[in-house]
Amino acid sequence: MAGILATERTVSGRAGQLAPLAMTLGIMLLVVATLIAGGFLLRATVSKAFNDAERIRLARTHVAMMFAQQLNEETGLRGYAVVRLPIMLEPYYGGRANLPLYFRRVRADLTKLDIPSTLTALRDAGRTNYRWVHEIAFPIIRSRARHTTLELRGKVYVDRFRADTNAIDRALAARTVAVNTRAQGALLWIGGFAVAAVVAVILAATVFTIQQYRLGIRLEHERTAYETEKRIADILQDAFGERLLPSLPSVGFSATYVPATEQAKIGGDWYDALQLSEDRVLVAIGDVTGHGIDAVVAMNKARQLLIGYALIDATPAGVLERVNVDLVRGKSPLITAICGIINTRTREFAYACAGHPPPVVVEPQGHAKLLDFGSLPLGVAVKTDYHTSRVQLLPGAMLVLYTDGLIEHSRDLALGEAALLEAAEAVAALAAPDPAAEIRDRIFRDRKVSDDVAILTVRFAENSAGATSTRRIA
Amino acid sequence: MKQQPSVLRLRCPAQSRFVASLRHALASFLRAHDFSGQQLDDVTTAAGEALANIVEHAYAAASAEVERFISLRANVDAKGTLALEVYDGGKFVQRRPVPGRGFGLRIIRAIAGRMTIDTSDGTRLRMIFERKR
Amino acid sequence: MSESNLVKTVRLSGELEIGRKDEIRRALAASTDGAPVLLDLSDVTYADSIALTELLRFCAEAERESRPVALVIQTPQFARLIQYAGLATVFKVFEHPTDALAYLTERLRQ
Repeated sequence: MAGILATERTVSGRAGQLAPLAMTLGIMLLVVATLIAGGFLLRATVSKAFNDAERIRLARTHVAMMFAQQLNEETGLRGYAVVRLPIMLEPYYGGRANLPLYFRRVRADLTKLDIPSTLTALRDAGRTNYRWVHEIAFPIIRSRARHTTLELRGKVYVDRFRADTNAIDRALAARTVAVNTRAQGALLWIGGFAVAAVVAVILAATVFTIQQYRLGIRLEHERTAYETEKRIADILQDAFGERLLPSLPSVGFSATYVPATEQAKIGGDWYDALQLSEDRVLVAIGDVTGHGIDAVVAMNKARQLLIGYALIDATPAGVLERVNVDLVRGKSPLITAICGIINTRTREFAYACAGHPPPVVVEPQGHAKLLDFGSLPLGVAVKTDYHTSRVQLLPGAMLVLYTDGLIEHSRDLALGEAALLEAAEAVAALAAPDPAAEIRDRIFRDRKVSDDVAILTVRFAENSAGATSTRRIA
Repeated sequence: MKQQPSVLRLRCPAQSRFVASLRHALASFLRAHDFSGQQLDDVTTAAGEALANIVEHAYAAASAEVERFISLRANVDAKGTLALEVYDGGKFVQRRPVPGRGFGLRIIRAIAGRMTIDTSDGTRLRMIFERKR
Repeated sequence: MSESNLVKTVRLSGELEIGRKDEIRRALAASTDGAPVLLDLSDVTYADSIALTELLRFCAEAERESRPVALVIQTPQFARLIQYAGLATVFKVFEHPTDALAYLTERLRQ
């Protein structure tokens, strides 16, 4: 397991910064484009509305002019009927000449504006004028008689013509209102979009500013967190660095811990040797998956649990089962471990294995072998069964517990195990005062430490002359 | 169709519906004698006011048998002097200008520098204009 | 008759003269409601004092009801007629409908 100072920090900076910036720029570009388009649209709408209004206005003038021609005709005829002088007829002839002109102009205007009711009225006006000219004007002009009744009938025609032109004018006035309302509506829309665009810009800028502010705070937090982490690591190192081994007459302990990197002082591997009672000693070794402060915290927790349950449960399997339940419920990372209880009087080694590499036993005669191992690591599933194996050791036998860093230095596990057995035998034969260190040195004489290594050895005295315990060497 | 008499003589009943006809005839006559622009408008307006005045007031106090007529006479001499005369058979009543009424005479006086009203026989309103060119 | 939603527009055209007195009176009478009035007289070709009297009557009535009235006159004869009659200060005359509308909307705010 790598030490915590090799922890990787999630750099939330880079990727997190680009997204809001791109979004803000995108929004602002969109807004600028909208405003420009809005400006053009505004101009187009206003000029169209103005043109429409002008066109209607012109149409109304033409309608008024057309009616004026009818009145001119009537004025001329009326004057002539009374004062039979050709000069009186001039307005009549003026009207006769100009009315068709205005009639055609009005028809063109109304066709373009597309108001069908007005074209109907226009046609009626045209017919009415025709009838007035032929039924009223011609007889009066040709004959010298007064024709009072004709004049009265003529008035009816002129009134009808007036009614038609009034109807057309009203329709045009209504169309002007519609045009104005539509233009106002369009202007409101454009205005609304412009306002929305400005609001969007302000919002985007505000969001961006807030985002940047928050990012700044977050980066500050992470910097603080890292320094805290480092401080905790140093504290923990001081707290757990001291690993006292029991000092017993008939059993000697030695242990060593080799971190993978120089900077790391504690990692996810641990060992414990603790006297539970007069005859019973707890030996444990464990390896937490993962790195950093989380691994250390998990290791510490597992360690405390294990010791705690060992004090109340007689069997290693029971201990591991209880520890496992707590770890699973606490969502701990996976931990491999061996929990063992040595009866110092009977030299019985009872142990349970949770996915950890097998203990090594070196017989007094010097032959090293691997013990049984198995089961799932701790923290996998609540209902995991563990099994207690019991081994009877002889005086002069040596037990080696270790973590996989010791055997996985080469890619070939078998080679690693073979090297371990060879080293264990050699060291047992030497009767070295610090077997753990010796084994470590032998294994790593020519090899590099690629993972954390913990080694715990237990040696049973050949006689009751006592055995020494060795303090740990970091 | 245009005729160019040097004198225009028109007579018709003093009814509002004929005023426009007389006015138009006078305008045609004046155009034929090279009156144009603002002066043409002014003279026509003055004539129109005089005619309207007759229609509104001239026969107000007259009895039923009196013929209610308007007579208009216009004459342009070689020098371009227009003599315009509007004549009716009624009594001229000088109305004090009442607020909101009686602009006709004020307008005529504003337009026609030389105006005379002869009430010896009916009412004869004469205006002289020098043609502007 | 309205061209704007706030101002009522009344259009009179042709010759406003004694022969059409009733017609003029009818056209003006048909436009009494609370709104300011724009009298569009831009297509009037001739006017006489009878028409002026009718217009004056209309404006006096509007004045009593505190409704502003604006006239649009584009014919020289008509404009001069108002001068000759001494009524230049009585009527609010504009040459363009837009100016008249502006005046009326300004008066509305007051």
